[in-house]
Amino acid sequence: MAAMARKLTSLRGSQIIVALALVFLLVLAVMAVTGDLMAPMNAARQSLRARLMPPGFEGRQGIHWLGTDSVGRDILSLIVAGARPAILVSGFAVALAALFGVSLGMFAGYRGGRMGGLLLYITNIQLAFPFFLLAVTIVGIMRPSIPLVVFVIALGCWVPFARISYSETMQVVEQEYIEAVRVMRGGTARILLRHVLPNILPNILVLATFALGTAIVMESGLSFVGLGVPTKTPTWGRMLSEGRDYISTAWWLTFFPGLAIFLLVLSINVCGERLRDITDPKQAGKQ
Amino acid sequence: MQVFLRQAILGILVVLSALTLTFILVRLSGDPTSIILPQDATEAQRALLREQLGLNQSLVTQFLSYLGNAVTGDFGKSYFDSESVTSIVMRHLPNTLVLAGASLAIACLFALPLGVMAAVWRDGPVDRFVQVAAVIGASMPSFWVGLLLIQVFAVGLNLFPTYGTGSAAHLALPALTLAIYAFPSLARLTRSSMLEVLPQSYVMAARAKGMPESRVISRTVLRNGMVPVLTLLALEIGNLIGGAVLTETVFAWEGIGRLAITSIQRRDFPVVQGVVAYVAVGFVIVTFLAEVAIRFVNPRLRHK
Repeated sequence: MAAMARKLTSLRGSQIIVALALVFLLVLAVMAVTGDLMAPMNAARQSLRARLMPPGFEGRQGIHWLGTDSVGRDILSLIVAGARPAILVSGFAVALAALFGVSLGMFAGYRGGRMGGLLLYITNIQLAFPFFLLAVTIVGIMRPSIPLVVFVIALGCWVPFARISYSETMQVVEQEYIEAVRVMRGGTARILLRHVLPNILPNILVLATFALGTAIVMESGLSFVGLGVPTKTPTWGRMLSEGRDYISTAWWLTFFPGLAIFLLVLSINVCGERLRDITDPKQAGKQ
Repeated sequence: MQVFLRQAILGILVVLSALTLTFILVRLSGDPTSIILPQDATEAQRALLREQLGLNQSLVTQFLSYLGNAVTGDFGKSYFDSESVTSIVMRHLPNTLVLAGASLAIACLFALPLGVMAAVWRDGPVDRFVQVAAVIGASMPSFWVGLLLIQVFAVGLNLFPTYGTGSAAHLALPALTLAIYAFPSLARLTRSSMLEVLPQSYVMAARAKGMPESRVISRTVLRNGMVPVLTLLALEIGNLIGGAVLTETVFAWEGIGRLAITSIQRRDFPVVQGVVAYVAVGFVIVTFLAEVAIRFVNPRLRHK
């Protein structure tokens, strides 16, 4: 009984956490869509008299709940404005990575043999190199732009998509119903899209959730070293690197933008864990 | 033997792709003479420099001579000071190795025992802690962790210097940052590979013949469960080098990660190429050694 009760309460606890994570993600998604509209103040507005003010400081525009930065901009409003680049860039990157990885993986899994071996070999080559160094090299030499940053982050995320869809497709195409479609002269595209893809989609979704978290960390990391997407108001990563110079006097400059990244990625990962438990009950609680 | 051969070919391909990629990127990025020479340099000066750098040869010739030089460890000189790239990289490399080694040691010190305990007492308090810590740790960007540690231990408690390279005190915070970065995957994998070994029949056999539980865990379970962890450790070192780029930037630690960033910022391309190439070579060697180590730990794999 005691064990069951504990299990029940822990389940409820984890459900509350998942619900919180979903709410947080929803709020951030709205911020990403509406952009500046949600911000309590004009994020771009500087004020020489309100520089480096601590959280709760009351300025001309109202109360700066999270303080102001080195040129007097409202930190909370900057964080709200920064949700858009963080989410859009990573979202597009993951979509691109999934599209590329899954199509390549499915095709290789369907053909099997040499194609599959080649794909695995290519992914091995990429995995055998610290990707972030590669990312800063590519973006740094070519100079940062939105498409380039999206492309590079996608390059850093496609491997798991390709590997999973490769191995899953190989299993699916052995099934008899695929054979039946083939007998009825269903083409490769039809088999892959109508019969293989729906089978592997749940796993791809789980993977995409975790990849989104990775992509956000990568994007903010690139921004932190000055190689992120160019935006009018600083991205979260750039806020951290600008705040680094004031770390001994103004902790809020680095604390809050980092907290935003952390909570966003944490929410995504929590949802990802839950999603994995739902799609694959056998794996539940295993990892 | 065949495995080693395959690994060696893979390694060569990794290094070759790294070299090719950086060569193409640098060639695509424009005329290096505009970086090296002052803006008011005459066209004659530029032409002379192009001649010296071999830029007016065909791309294929340039690429081949670049590869040829790279094989002998010659990546040319920095655009800004006349020091050779290899000696610049070698000057920064020890710092990164110290940092990576220290953080890996700290991470293992916590992740391995905690991962084993989490598996042995599954669903117990240690297990819960490891699971929660792993999810939280995996969600924190390493550079933010670094900044938080600076805030608490350097600015607040004044225990360590804020940034810089040199003493052990300087090493503490960046090493801790990278260790936190490496902890989640290491603890999780240790746990899950232990969980896979625990229900095996040979573990039951060891228990059945009366072997004390501590010995069952330390000899039978650990030895078998450690194989995937060793494989991960090799990958983890690469991950650490990637993470070191950010951590070294946060702490102004004079390693090759920071060298890469500063060289990229001032567009000192030969140094960037050198860093990428040396990291590729280093990582290939580490992966290879890991393959050997795995066969040493697990004799069953030797004949496969």
